[in-house]
Amino acid sequence: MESSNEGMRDRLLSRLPQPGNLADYRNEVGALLEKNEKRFRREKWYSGALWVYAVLLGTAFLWLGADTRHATTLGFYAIFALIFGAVELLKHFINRSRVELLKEIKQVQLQVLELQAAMGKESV
Amino acid sequence: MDKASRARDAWIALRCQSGEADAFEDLIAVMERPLLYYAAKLLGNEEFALDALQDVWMRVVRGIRRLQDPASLRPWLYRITYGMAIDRIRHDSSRQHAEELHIEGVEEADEPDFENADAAAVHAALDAIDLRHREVLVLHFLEDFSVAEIAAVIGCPEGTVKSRIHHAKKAMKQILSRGGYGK
Repeated sequence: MESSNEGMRDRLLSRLPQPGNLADYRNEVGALLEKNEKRFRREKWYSGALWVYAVLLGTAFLWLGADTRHATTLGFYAIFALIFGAVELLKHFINRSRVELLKEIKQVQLQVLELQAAMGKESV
Repeated sequence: MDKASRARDAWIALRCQSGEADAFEDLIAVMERPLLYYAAKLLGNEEFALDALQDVWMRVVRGIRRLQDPASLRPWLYRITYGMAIDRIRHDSSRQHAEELHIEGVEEADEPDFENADAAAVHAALDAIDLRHREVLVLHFLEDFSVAEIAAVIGCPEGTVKSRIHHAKKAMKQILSRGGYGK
């Protein structure tokens, strides 16, 4: 069933004509991918910048509030800023390592499946 | 869908989610033609299908990080394509003809298979069957999706999908045996 469908799939796809607006489509998709890459780079930069900002803000609150009567309030703000920055950074790291780990696992799984397929072919 | 295809899909999805530079290009290289074929069969025109596909990629780029199960990448892509195509069809008055649908009971009979059928004939005959039948049969031919996967793509109960596949195959068989496809 699978192999027949596989054959039918390829044969059907080969019937697909090249539409006239293919060039416009390629340009649009190219621009979309470029934009997306920029977005990813910006996001990476953003999470680092957020942490630096939180640390600087926290330090500023502690520094400015050291000798004033608002020391407690500013100290509270400083801790809040640091916790907020740390949580955002941690979320980013956890998500990144989760995806990276899953990626590694999938890669190994793919290699195993390819080896199994190669061994199956040899035995036939 | 076999295990290896699932693993390959999951790997590409994860690469996209992790922001790997070439991952989207690989995804497009693998899925562009089947999705275009599906959209073209739903919309009946390759030019419209290409426009719809452009919108599909935009949604994919924005939404792939919210995809919970990377192995279900392919059904997810077809679901988006289906949604885009149906939106366009709804705007089109020719929908009236396509919407004539009867959900019939499934008769227990031998399922026709098209293993040895001419691809050109199948390709043309697909255009001659009802849209509701065509949308499930194209998924069946292209991806060998399970009934549950097709149901998830088109948003219908599994029983309805089963019924549609059955009747679609019967209709196809009739058209092919008459040799009246593409006329």
